[in-house]
Amino acid sequence: MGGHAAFVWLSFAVAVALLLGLALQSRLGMKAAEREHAEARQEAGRDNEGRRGA
Amino acid sequence: MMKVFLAIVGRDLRLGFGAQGAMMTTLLFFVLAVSLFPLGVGPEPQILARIAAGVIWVAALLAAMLSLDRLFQTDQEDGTLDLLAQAPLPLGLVALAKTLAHWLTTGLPLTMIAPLLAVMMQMDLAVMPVLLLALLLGTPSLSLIGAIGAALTLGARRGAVLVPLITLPLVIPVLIFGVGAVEAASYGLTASPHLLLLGAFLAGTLTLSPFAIAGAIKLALE
Amino acid sequence: MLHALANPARFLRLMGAIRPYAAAVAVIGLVVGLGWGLLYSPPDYQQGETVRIMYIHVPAAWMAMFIYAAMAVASATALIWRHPVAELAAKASAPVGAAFTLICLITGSLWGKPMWGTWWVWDARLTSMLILFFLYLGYIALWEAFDDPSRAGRAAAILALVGAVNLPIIKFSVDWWNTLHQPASVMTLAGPKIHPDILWPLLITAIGAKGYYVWVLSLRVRAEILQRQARILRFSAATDRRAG
Repeated sequence: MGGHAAFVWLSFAVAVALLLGLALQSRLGMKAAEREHAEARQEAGRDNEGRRGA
Repeated sequence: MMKVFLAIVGRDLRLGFGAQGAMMTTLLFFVLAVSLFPLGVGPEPQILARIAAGVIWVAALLAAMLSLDRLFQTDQEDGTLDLLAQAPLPLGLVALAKTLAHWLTTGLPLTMIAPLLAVMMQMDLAVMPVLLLALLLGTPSLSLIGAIGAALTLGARRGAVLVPLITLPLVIPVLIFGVGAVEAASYGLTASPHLLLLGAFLAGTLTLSPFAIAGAIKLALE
Repeated sequence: MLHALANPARFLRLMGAIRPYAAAVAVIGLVVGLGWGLLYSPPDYQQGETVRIMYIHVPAAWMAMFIYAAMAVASATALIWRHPVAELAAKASAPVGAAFTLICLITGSLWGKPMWGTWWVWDARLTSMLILFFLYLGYIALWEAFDDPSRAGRAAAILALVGAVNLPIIKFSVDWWNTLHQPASVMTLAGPKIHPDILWPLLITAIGAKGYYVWVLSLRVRAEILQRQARILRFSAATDRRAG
Protein backbone atom coordinates (compact mmCIF):
# COMPACT_ATOMS: atom_id res chain seq x y z
CA MET A 1 0.00 0.00 0.00
CA GLY A 2 1.28 3.42 -0.93
CA GLY A 3 1.32 6.59 1.10
CA HIS A 4 -2.43 6.96 1.18
CA ALA A 5 -3.24 3.53 2.57
CA ALA A 6 -4.76 5.10 5.69
CA PHE A 7 -7.52 6.70 3.62
CA VAL A 8 -8.33 3.38 1.98
CA TRP A 9 -8.46 1.47 5.26
CA LEU A 10 -10.48 4.22 6.91
CA SER A 11 -13.02 4.17 4.06
CA PHE A 12 -13.46 0.43 4.34
CA ALA A 13 -13.69 0.64 8.12
CA VAL A 14 -16.33 3.38 8.03
CA ALA A 15 -18.43 1.48 5.49
CA VAL A 16 -18.24 -1.82 7.39
CA ALA A 17 -18.97 -0.11 10.71
CA LEU A 18 -22.03 1.71 9.32
CA LEU A 19 -23.43 -1.38 7.61
CA LEU A 20 -22.86 -3.61 10.64
CA GLY A 21 -24.32 -0.96 12.93
CA LEU A 22 -27.47 -0.62 10.86
CA ALA A 23 -27.87 -4.40 10.61
CA LEU A 24 -27.44 -4.77 14.36
CA GLN A 25 -29.87 -1.95 15.08
CA SER A 26 -32.44 -3.53 12.73
CA ARG A 27 -32.00 -6.92 14.37
CA LEU A 28 -32.36 -5.49 17.89
CA GLY A 29 -35.42 -3.55 16.72
CA MET A 30 -36.94 -6.74 15.38
CA LYS A 31 -36.25 -8.64 18.61
CA ALA A 32 -37.84 -5.80 20.61
CA ALA A 33 -40.87 -5.83 18.32
CA GLU A 34 -41.16 -9.62 18.74
CA ARG A 35 -41.13 -9.24 22.53
CA GLU A 36 -43.68 -6.44 22.41
CA HIS A 37 -45.89 -8.50 20.12
CA ALA A 38 -45.71 -11.55 22.40
CA GLU A 39 -46.53 -9.41 25.43
CA ALA A 40 -49.51 -7.77 23.75
CA ARG A 41 -50.73 -11.19 22.70
CA GLN A 42 -50.43 -12.55 26.21
CA GLU A 43 -52.27 -9.56 27.66
CA ALA A 44 -55.07 -9.95 25.14
CA GLY A 45 -55.27 -13.66 25.92
CA ARG A 46 -55.42 -13.00 29.65
CA ASP A 47 -58.17 -10.47 29.16
CA ASN A 48 -60.22 -12.91 27.16
CA GLU A 49 -59.79 -15.64 29.76
CA GLY A 50 -60.70 -13.22 32.52
CA ARG A 51 -63.92 -12.35 30.75
CA ARG A 52 -64.75 -15.97 30.11
CA GLY A 53 -64.18 -16.75 33.76
CA ALA A 54 -66.54 -13.95 34.83
CA MET B 1 -65.76 26.76 -13.25
CA MET B 2 -63.52 29.71 -14.14
CA LYS B 3 -65.65 31.87 -11.85
CA VAL B 4 -65.10 29.58 -8.88
CA PHE B 5 -61.38 29.45 -9.66
CA LEU B 6 -61.14 33.24 -9.75
CA ALA B 7 -63.26 33.54 -6.60
CA ILE B 8 -60.79 31.35 -4.69
CA VAL B 9 -57.84 33.34 -6.05
CA GLY B 10 -59.58 36.60 -5.13
CA ARG B 11 -60.38 35.45 -1.62
CA ASP B 12 -56.81 34.35 -0.95
CA LEU B 13 -55.47 37.57 -2.42
CA ARG B 14 -57.67 39.65 -0.10
CA LEU B 15 -56.43 37.58 2.83
CA GLY B 16 -52.85 37.80 1.60
CA PHE B 17 -52.80 41.56 1.12
CA GLY B 18 -54.71 42.22 4.32
CA ALA B 19 -53.35 42.83 7.77
CA GLN B 20 -53.18 39.08 8.43
CA GLY B 21 -51.33 38.43 5.20
CA ALA B 22 -47.72 37.41 5.07
CA MET B 23 -46.88 39.43 1.96
CA MET B 24 -45.12 42.34 3.65
CA THR B 25 -43.30 40.02 6.06
CA THR B 26 -42.05 37.89 3.18
CA LEU B 27 -40.80 40.91 1.26
CA LEU B 28 -39.12 42.35 4.32
CA PHE B 29 -37.40 39.02 5.00
CA PHE B 30 -36.19 38.89 1.39
CA VAL B 31 -34.68 42.40 1.55
CA LEU B 32 -33.21 41.78 4.98
CA ALA B 33 -31.66 38.44 4.03
CA VAL B 34 -29.96 39.93 0.95
CA SER B 35 -28.75 42.96 2.94
CA LEU B 36 -26.97 40.66 5.37
CA PHE B 37 -24.57 39.41 2.70
CA PRO B 38 -22.57 42.62 2.20
CA LEU B 39 -22.27 42.75 5.97
CA GLY B 40 -21.14 39.16 6.04
CA VAL B 41 -18.71 39.02 3.11
CA GLY B 42 -17.64 42.66 2.96
CA PRO B 43 -18.63 45.53 0.69
CA GLU B 44 -16.12 45.02 -2.16
CA PRO B 45 -18.11 45.65 -5.36
CA GLN B 46 -16.39 42.87 -7.34
CA ILE B 47 -17.19 40.20 -4.76
CA LEU B 48 -20.78 41.42 -4.41
CA ALA B 49 -21.29 41.49 -8.16
CA ARG B 50 -19.89 37.97 -8.41
CA ILE B 51 -22.27 36.51 -5.82
CA ALA B 52 -25.28 38.80 -6.51
CA ALA B 53 -27.31 36.36 -8.62
CA GLY B 54 -26.77 33.46 -6.24
CA VAL B 55 -27.58 35.51 -3.15
CA ILE B 56 -30.78 36.92 -4.61
CA TRP B 57 -31.93 33.48 -5.74
CA VAL B 58 -31.15 31.77 -2.47
CA ALA B 59 -32.90 34.53 -0.54
CA ALA B 60 -35.92 34.21 -2.84
CA LEU B 61 -36.02 30.44 -2.25
CA LEU B 62 -35.97 30.93 1.51
CA ALA B 63 -38.49 33.78 1.43
CA ALA B 64 -40.90 31.68 -0.63
CA MET B 65 -40.77 28.98 2.08
CA LEU B 66 -41.78 31.40 4.85
CA SER B 67 -45.52 31.63 4.39
CA LEU B 68 -45.97 28.14 2.94
CA ASP B 69 -46.93 26.35 6.14
CA ARG B 70 -50.01 28.60 6.44
CA LEU B 71 -51.06 28.01 2.82
CA PHE B 72 -53.61 25.29 3.62
CA GLN B 73 -53.38 25.13 7.39
CA THR B 74 -55.56 28.12 8.28
CA ASP B 75 -58.18 26.87 5.83
CA GLN B 76 -58.06 23.44 7.39
CA GLU B 77 -58.37 24.81 10.91
CA ASP B 78 -61.48 26.89 10.23
CA GLY B 79 -63.07 24.24 8.00
CA THR B 80 -62.81 26.22 4.76
CA LEU B 81 -60.77 23.43 3.20
CA ASP B 82 -63.65 20.96 3.65
CA LEU B 83 -65.94 23.39 1.85
CA LEU B 84 -63.39 23.99 -0.91
CA ALA B 85 -63.06 20.23 -1.40
CA GLN B 86 -66.79 20.15 -2.15
CA ALA B 87 -66.62 23.13 -4.52
CA PRO B 88 -67.82 22.50 -8.09
CA LEU B 89 -64.19 22.37 -9.13
CA PRO B 90 -61.68 19.48 -9.15
CA LEU B 91 -59.50 19.60 -6.05
CA GLY B 92 -56.41 19.94 -8.24
CA LEU B 93 -57.76 23.20 -9.64
CA VAL B 94 -58.67 24.45 -6.16
CA ALA B 95 -55.06 23.76 -5.20
CA LEU B 96 -53.87 25.53 -8.33
CA ALA B 97 -56.00 28.59 -7.49
CA LYS B 98 -54.57 28.77 -3.98
CA THR B 99 -51.04 28.29 -5.31
CA LEU B 100 -51.59 31.06 -7.85
CA ALA B 101 -52.69 33.37 -5.05
CA HIS B 102 -49.59 32.36 -3.09
CA TRP B 103 -47.38 33.22 -6.05
CA LEU B 104 -49.16 36.55 -6.57
CA THR B 105 -48.47 37.47 -2.94
CA THR B 106 -44.89 36.13 -2.73
CA GLY B 107 -43.17 35.26 -6.01
CA LEU B 108 -44.42 38.26 -7.95
CA PRO B 109 -43.60 40.89 -5.29
CA LEU B 110 -40.19 39.25 -4.80
CA THR B 111 -39.55 39.58 -8.52
CA MET B 112 -40.64 43.20 -8.54
CA ILE B 113 -38.38 44.20 -5.68
CA ALA B 114 -35.41 42.18 -6.98
CA PRO B 115 -34.03 44.98 -9.23
CA LEU B 116 -33.58 47.18 -6.17
CA LEU B 117 -31.59 44.44 -4.46
CA ALA B 118 -29.64 43.79 -7.66
CA VAL B 119 -28.53 47.42 -7.65
CA MET B 120 -27.52 47.16 -4.01
CA MET B 121 -25.53 44.02 -4.84
CA GLN B 122 -23.69 45.87 -7.67
CA MET B 123 -25.18 43.68 -10.36
CA ASP B 124 -24.60 44.77 -13.94
CA LEU B 125 -27.72 46.66 -15.02
CA ALA B 126 -27.58 45.06 -18.48
CA VAL B 127 -28.46 41.63 -17.05
CA MET B 128 -31.47 42.94 -15.11
CA PRO B 129 -34.04 41.83 -17.73
CA VAL B 130 -32.63 38.30 -17.60
CA LEU B 131 -32.83 38.28 -13.79
CA LEU B 132 -36.46 39.43 -13.93
CA LEU B 133 -37.40 36.91 -16.59
CA ALA B 134 -35.67 34.10 -14.71
CA LEU B 135 -37.46 35.03 -11.48
CA LEU B 136 -40.79 35.25 -13.31
CA LEU B 137 -40.28 31.76 -14.74
CA GLY B 138 -38.75 30.25 -11.61
CA THR B 139 -40.80 31.54 -8.68
CA PRO B 140 -44.09 29.88 -9.80
CA SER B 141 -42.28 26.53 -9.59
CA LEU B 142 -41.27 27.40 -6.04
CA SER B 143 -44.91 28.05 -5.12
CA LEU B 144 -46.11 24.87 -6.82
CA ILE B 145 -43.55 22.52 -5.26
CA GLY B 146 -43.86 24.38 -1.97
CA ALA B 147 -47.60 23.80 -2.03
CA ILE B 148 -46.96 20.05 -2.24
CA GLY B 149 -44.84 20.30 0.89
CA ALA B 150 -47.46 22.46 2.61
CA ALA B 151 -50.25 20.00 1.80
CA LEU B 152 -48.20 16.97 2.85
CA THR B 153 -47.39 18.44 6.26
CA LEU B 154 -50.99 19.45 7.07
CA GLY B 155 -51.58 18.43 10.66
CA ALA B 156 -47.96 17.36 11.17
CA ARG B 157 -45.91 18.21 14.20
CA ARG B 158 -43.33 20.95 13.50
CA GLY B 159 -44.94 21.57 10.12
CA ALA B 160 -43.37 25.01 9.77
CA VAL B 161 -39.84 23.57 9.88
CA LEU B 162 -40.73 20.45 7.95
CA VAL B 163 -41.96 22.30 4.83
CA PRO B 164 -38.59 23.85 3.92
CA LEU B 165 -36.83 20.61 4.86
CA ILE B 166 -38.76 18.53 2.34
CA THR B 167 -39.24 21.28 -0.27
CA LEU B 168 -35.82 22.92 -0.62
CA PRO B 169 -33.99 19.86 -2.03
CA LEU B 170 -36.72 19.55 -4.66
CA VAL B 171 -36.35 23.12 -5.94
CA ILE B 172 -32.57 22.96 -6.45
CA PRO B 173 -32.98 22.80 -10.27
CA VAL B 174 -34.78 26.18 -10.14
CA LEU B 175 -31.85 27.66 -8.23
CA ILE B 176 -29.26 26.22 -10.62
CA PHE B 177 -30.99 27.28 -13.83
CA GLY B 178 -32.06 30.64 -12.40
CA VAL B 179 -28.56 31.59 -11.33
CA GLY B 180 -27.13 30.07 -14.49
CA ALA B 181 -29.29 32.34 -16.66
CA VAL B 182 -28.05 35.49 -14.92
CA GLU B 183 -24.43 34.36 -14.93
CA ALA B 184 -24.54 33.41 -18.61
CA ALA B 185 -25.93 36.88 -19.41
CA SER B 186 -23.26 38.57 -17.31
CA TYR B 187 -20.54 36.71 -19.24
CA GLY B 188 -22.13 37.97 -22.45
CA LEU B 189 -23.48 34.54 -23.41
CA THR B 190 -27.03 33.74 -24.32
CA ALA B 191 -29.29 32.98 -21.36
CA SER B 192 -31.95 31.27 -23.42
CA PRO B 193 -30.99 27.62 -22.67
CA HIS B 194 -31.30 28.32 -18.94
CA LEU B 195 -34.56 30.21 -19.39
CA LEU B 196 -35.94 27.42 -21.57
CA LEU B 197 -35.02 24.86 -18.91
CA LEU B 198 -36.71 27.01 -16.26
CA GLY B 199 -39.78 27.20 -18.47
CA ALA B 200 -39.74 23.45 -19.06
CA PHE B 201 -39.46 22.85 -15.32
CA LEU B 202 -42.41 25.18 -14.74
CA ALA B 203 -44.46 23.37 -17.38
CA GLY B 204 -43.70 20.08 -15.67
CA THR B 205 -44.54 21.25 -12.16
CA LEU B 206 -47.65 23.04 -13.42
CA THR B 207 -49.07 19.84 -14.89
CA LEU B 208 -47.94 17.34 -12.23
CA SER B 209 -48.02 19.13 -8.89
CA PRO B 210 -51.83 19.75 -8.79
CA PHE B 211 -52.27 15.96 -8.63
CA ALA B 212 -49.79 15.65 -5.77
CA ILE B 213 -51.32 18.60 -3.89
CA ALA B 214 -54.85 17.30 -4.37
CA GLY B 215 -53.80 13.83 -3.19
CA ALA B 216 -52.14 15.26 -0.12
CA ILE B 217 -55.15 17.47 0.74
CA LYS B 218 -57.50 14.48 0.41
CA LEU B 219 -55.33 12.60 2.90
CA ALA B 220 -55.49 15.47 5.36
CA LEU B 221 -59.26 15.76 5.11
CA GLU B 222 -59.98 12.07 5.73
CA MET C 1 -48.30 -12.10 -6.63
CA LEU C 2 -48.82 -8.56 -5.44
CA HIS C 3 -52.08 -9.53 -3.86
CA ALA C 4 -50.53 -12.48 -2.07
CA LEU C 5 -47.88 -10.22 -0.59
CA ALA C 6 -50.50 -7.88 0.83
CA ASN C 7 -51.27 -10.40 3.52
CA PRO C 8 -48.81 -9.50 6.32
CA ALA C 9 -48.67 -13.05 7.70
CA ARG C 10 -47.80 -14.53 4.32
CA PHE C 11 -45.30 -11.74 3.71
CA LEU C 12 -43.64 -12.48 7.06
CA ARG C 13 -43.37 -16.18 6.19
CA LEU C 14 -41.87 -15.38 2.78
CA MET C 15 -39.44 -12.90 4.31
CA GLY C 16 -38.45 -15.46 6.94
CA ALA C 17 -37.70 -17.98 4.21
CA ILE C 18 -35.65 -15.50 2.17
CA ARG C 19 -33.74 -13.97 5.08
CA PRO C 20 -30.96 -16.58 5.54
CA TYR C 21 -30.19 -16.58 1.81
CA ALA C 22 -30.11 -12.78 1.68
CA ALA C 23 -27.78 -12.72 4.68
CA ALA C 24 -25.52 -15.30 3.02
CA VAL C 25 -25.43 -13.31 -0.24
CA ALA C 26 -24.67 -10.16 1.75
CA VAL C 27 -21.81 -11.63 3.76
CA ILE C 28 -20.23 -13.58 0.90
CA GLY C 29 -20.69 -10.78 -1.67
CA LEU C 30 -19.38 -8.01 0.56
CA VAL C 31 -16.44 -10.00 1.91
CA VAL C 32 -15.37 -11.33 -1.51
CA GLY C 33 -16.03 -8.09 -3.42
CA LEU C 34 -14.49 -5.73 -0.89
CA GLY C 35 -11.61 -8.11 -0.13
CA TRP C 36 -10.84 -8.46 -3.83
CA GLY C 37 -11.00 -4.72 -4.33
CA LEU C 38 -8.93 -4.02 -1.26
CA LEU C 39 -6.20 -6.62 -1.70
CA TYR C 40 -6.06 -8.07 -5.20
CA SER C 41 -7.16 -5.37 -7.64
CA PRO C 42 -4.55 -3.43 -9.61
CA PRO C 43 -3.63 0.06 -8.39
CA ASP C 44 -4.37 2.93 -10.77
CA TYR C 45 -1.41 4.42 -12.66
CA GLN C 46 -2.66 7.94 -11.85
CA GLN C 47 -4.25 7.65 -8.42
CA GLY C 48 -2.23 4.76 -7.01
CA GLU C 49 -3.75 2.84 -4.13
CA THR C 50 -6.36 5.49 -3.42
CA VAL C 51 -8.45 4.15 -6.28
CA ARG C 52 -9.45 1.23 -4.04
CA ILE C 53 -11.88 3.55 -2.26
CA MET C 54 -13.90 3.28 -5.46
CA TYR C 55 -14.85 -0.30 -4.52
CA ILE C 56 -17.02 1.08 -1.72
CA HIS C 57 -17.83 4.51 -3.08
CA VAL C 58 -19.29 3.42 -6.42
CA PRO C 59 -21.43 0.49 -5.18
CA ALA C 60 -22.68 2.72 -2.34
CA ALA C 61 -23.74 5.34 -4.89
CA TRP C 62 -25.49 2.67 -6.96
CA MET C 63 -27.29 1.34 -3.88
CA ALA C 64 -28.32 4.83 -2.76
CA MET C 65 -30.10 5.41 -6.08
CA PHE C 66 -31.39 1.85 -6.38
CA ILE C 67 -32.99 2.00 -2.94
CA TYR C 68 -34.63 5.35 -3.67
CA ALA C 69 -36.08 3.83 -6.85
CA ALA C 70 -37.26 0.78 -4.87
CA MET C 71 -38.82 3.12 -2.30
CA ALA C 72 -40.65 4.97 -5.07
CA VAL C 73 -41.99 1.73 -6.56
CA ALA C 74 -43.11 0.54 -3.13
CA SER C 75 -44.75 3.93 -2.49
CA ALA C 76 -46.61 3.82 -5.81
CA THR C 77 -47.80 0.30 -4.96
CA ALA C 78 -48.92 1.50 -1.54
CA LEU C 79 -50.84 4.45 -2.99
CA ILE C 80 -52.48 2.72 -5.95
CA TRP C 81 -53.43 -0.62 -4.37
CA ARG C 82 -53.53 0.49 -0.73
CA HIS C 83 -50.93 -2.21 -0.18
CA PRO C 84 -50.13 -2.09 3.56
CA VAL C 85 -46.89 -4.05 3.39
CA ALA C 86 -45.51 -1.94 0.52
CA GLU C 87 -45.90 1.14 2.68
CA LEU C 88 -43.86 -0.46 5.46
CA ALA C 89 -41.28 -1.68 2.95
CA ALA C 90 -40.83 1.90 1.74
CA LYS C 91 -40.47 3.11 5.32
CA ALA C 92 -37.95 0.38 6.14
CA SER C 93 -35.93 1.14 2.99
CA ALA C 94 -35.25 4.76 3.87
CA PRO C 95 -32.67 4.24 6.66
CA VAL C 96 -30.81 1.66 4.53
CA GLY C 97 -30.71 4.08 1.58
CA ALA C 98 -29.62 6.91 3.84
CA ALA C 99 -26.83 4.71 5.25
CA PHE C 100 -25.51 3.92 1.77
CA THR C 101 -25.72 7.60 0.82
CA LEU C 102 -23.77 8.51 3.94
CA ILE C 103 -21.14 5.87 3.11
CA CYS C 104 -20.87 7.32 -0.39
CA LEU C 105 -20.41 10.83 1.03
CA ILE C 106 -17.83 9.82 3.65
CA THR C 107 -15.78 7.70 1.26
CA GLY C 108 -16.01 10.48 -1.34
CA SER C 109 -14.59 12.86 1.22
CA LEU C 110 -11.84 10.40 2.16
CA TRP C 111 -11.07 9.93 -1.54
CA GLY C 112 -11.02 13.68 -2.14
CA LYS C 113 -8.39 14.41 0.49
CA PRO C 114 -5.47 12.60 -1.17
CA MET C 115 -6.75 13.40 -4.69
CA TRP C 116 -7.53 17.08 -4.40
CA GLY C 117 -6.02 17.95 -1.05
CA THR C 118 -9.36 18.90 0.49
CA TRP C 119 -11.99 17.00 2.43
CA TRP C 120 -14.86 18.24 0.33
CA VAL C 121 -15.14 19.08 -3.34
CA TRP C 122 -18.39 20.05 -5.05
CA ASP C 123 -17.97 17.21 -7.49
CA ALA C 124 -21.07 16.34 -9.53
CA ARG C 125 -21.58 12.94 -7.91
CA LEU C 126 -20.87 14.07 -4.36
CA THR C 127 -23.26 17.00 -4.78
CA SER C 128 -26.13 14.89 -6.10
CA MET C 129 -25.48 12.35 -3.33
CA LEU C 130 -25.69 15.15 -0.77
CA ILE C 131 -29.06 16.22 -2.19
CA LEU C 132 -30.21 12.58 -2.20
CA PHE C 133 -29.20 12.39 1.46
CA PHE C 134 -31.40 15.42 2.19
CA LEU C 135 -34.29 13.75 0.32
CA TYR C 136 -33.90 10.61 2.45
CA LEU C 137 -33.80 12.66 5.65
CA GLY C 138 -36.88 14.67 4.61
CA TYR C 139 -38.74 11.43 3.88
CA ILE C 140 -37.81 9.99 7.29
CA ALA C 141 -38.74 13.28 9.01
CA LEU C 142 -42.17 13.27 7.35
CA TRP C 143 -42.82 9.73 8.62
CA GLU C 144 -41.91 10.82 12.13
CA ALA C 145 -44.06 13.96 12.05
CA PHE C 146 -47.48 12.31 12.33
CA ASP C 147 -49.14 10.45 15.18
CA ASP C 148 -51.39 8.50 12.83
CA PRO C 149 -49.26 5.92 10.97
CA SER C 150 -51.66 5.55 8.03
CA ARG C 151 -51.67 9.30 7.42
CA ALA C 152 -47.88 9.41 7.73
CA GLY C 153 -47.44 6.48 5.40
CA ARG C 154 -49.48 7.92 2.58
CA ALA C 155 -48.05 11.44 2.89
CA ALA C 156 -44.55 9.96 2.82
CA ALA C 157 -45.51 7.85 -0.21
CA ILE C 158 -46.56 10.98 -2.12
CA LEU C 159 -43.29 12.66 -1.13
CA ALA C 160 -41.26 9.67 -2.31
CA LEU C 161 -43.03 9.77 -5.69
CA VAL C 162 -42.54 13.52 -6.09
CA GLY C 163 -38.88 13.04 -5.19
CA ALA C 164 -38.49 10.18 -7.67
CA VAL C 165 -39.95 12.29 -10.49
CA ASN C 166 -37.69 15.17 -9.54
CA LEU C 167 -34.50 13.21 -8.94
CA PRO C 168 -33.44 12.82 -12.61
CA ILE C 169 -34.02 16.56 -13.09
CA ILE C 170 -31.94 17.35 -10.01
CA LYS C 171 -29.19 15.04 -11.27
CA PHE C 172 -29.26 16.70 -14.69
CA SER C 173 -29.20 20.20 -13.20
CA VAL C 174 -26.29 19.34 -10.90
CA ASP C 175 -24.28 17.88 -13.80
CA TRP C 176 -25.07 21.01 -15.81
CA TRP C 177 -24.03 23.23 -12.90
CA ASN C 178 -20.85 21.23 -12.48
CA THR C 179 -19.78 21.62 -16.10
CA LEU C 180 -20.47 25.37 -15.95
CA HIS C 181 -18.23 25.75 -12.92
CA GLN C 182 -15.36 23.68 -14.28
CA PRO C 183 -13.58 22.17 -11.29
CA ALA C 184 -9.89 22.93 -10.80
CA SER C 185 -8.90 19.34 -11.33
CA VAL C 186 -9.74 17.33 -14.42
CA MET C 187 -9.95 14.17 -12.32
CA THR C 188 -13.41 13.22 -11.16
CA LEU C 189 -14.66 10.54 -8.82
CA ALA C 190 -15.65 8.46 -11.82
CA GLY C 191 -12.56 6.33 -11.48
CA PRO C 192 -10.46 5.12 -14.38
CA LYS C 193 -11.78 3.33 -17.45
CA ILE C 194 -13.72 0.22 -16.55
CA HIS C 195 -11.44 -2.78 -16.88
CA PRO C 196 -12.53 -6.38 -16.14
CA ASP C 197 -10.16 -6.51 -13.16
CA ILE C 198 -12.08 -3.56 -11.74
CA LEU C 199 -15.54 -4.56 -12.89
CA TRP C 200 -15.66 -7.96 -11.17
CA PRO C 201 -15.04 -6.81 -7.60
CA LEU C 202 -17.41 -3.88 -8.22
CA LEU C 203 -20.19 -6.19 -9.42
CA ILE C 204 -19.68 -8.73 -6.62
CA THR C 205 -19.77 -5.93 -4.03
CA ALA C 206 -22.94 -4.56 -5.64
CA ILE C 207 -24.62 -7.98 -5.46
CA GLY C 208 -23.54 -8.33 -1.84
CA ALA C 209 -24.96 -4.88 -1.10
CA LYS C 210 -28.29 -5.88 -2.69
CA GLY C 211 -28.34 -8.98 -0.48
CA TYR C 212 -27.62 -6.78 2.52
CA TYR C 213 -30.52 -4.51 1.56
CA VAL C 214 -32.96 -7.44 1.30
CA TRP C 215 -31.71 -8.87 4.58
CA VAL C 216 -32.00 -5.64 6.58
CA LEU C 217 -35.29 -4.80 4.85
CA SER C 218 -36.77 -8.14 5.94
CA LEU C 219 -35.68 -7.48 9.53
CA ARG C 220 -37.11 -3.97 9.58
CA VAL C 221 -40.39 -4.83 7.84
CA ARG C 222 -40.91 -7.69 10.26
CA ALA C 223 -40.34 -5.29 13.16
CA GLU C 224 -42.81 -2.79 11.68
CA ILE C 225 -45.52 -5.41 11.09
CA LEU C 226 -45.16 -6.89 14.58
CA GLN C 227 -45.23 -3.44 16.17
CA ARG C 228 -48.36 -2.55 14.27
CA GLN C 229 -50.06 -5.81 15.23
CA ALA C 230 -49.06 -5.32 18.86
CA ARG C 231 -50.58 -1.85 18.81
CA ILE C 232 -53.82 -3.20 17.36
CA LEU C 233 -53.92 -6.02 19.95
CA ARG C 234 -53.41 -3.56 22.81
CA PHE C 235 -55.96 -1.17 21.39
CA SER C 236 -58.65 -3.80 20.94
CA ALA C 237 -57.88 -5.26 24.38
CA ALA C 238 -58.36 -1.81 25.88
CA THR C 239 -61.68 -1.26 24.12
CA ASP C 240 -62.80 -4.76 25.13
CA ARG C 241 -62.04 -3.97 28.76
CA ARG C 242 -64.00 -0.76 28.52
CA ALA C 243 -66.93 -2.56 26.86
CA GLY C 244 -66.86 -5.50 29.27
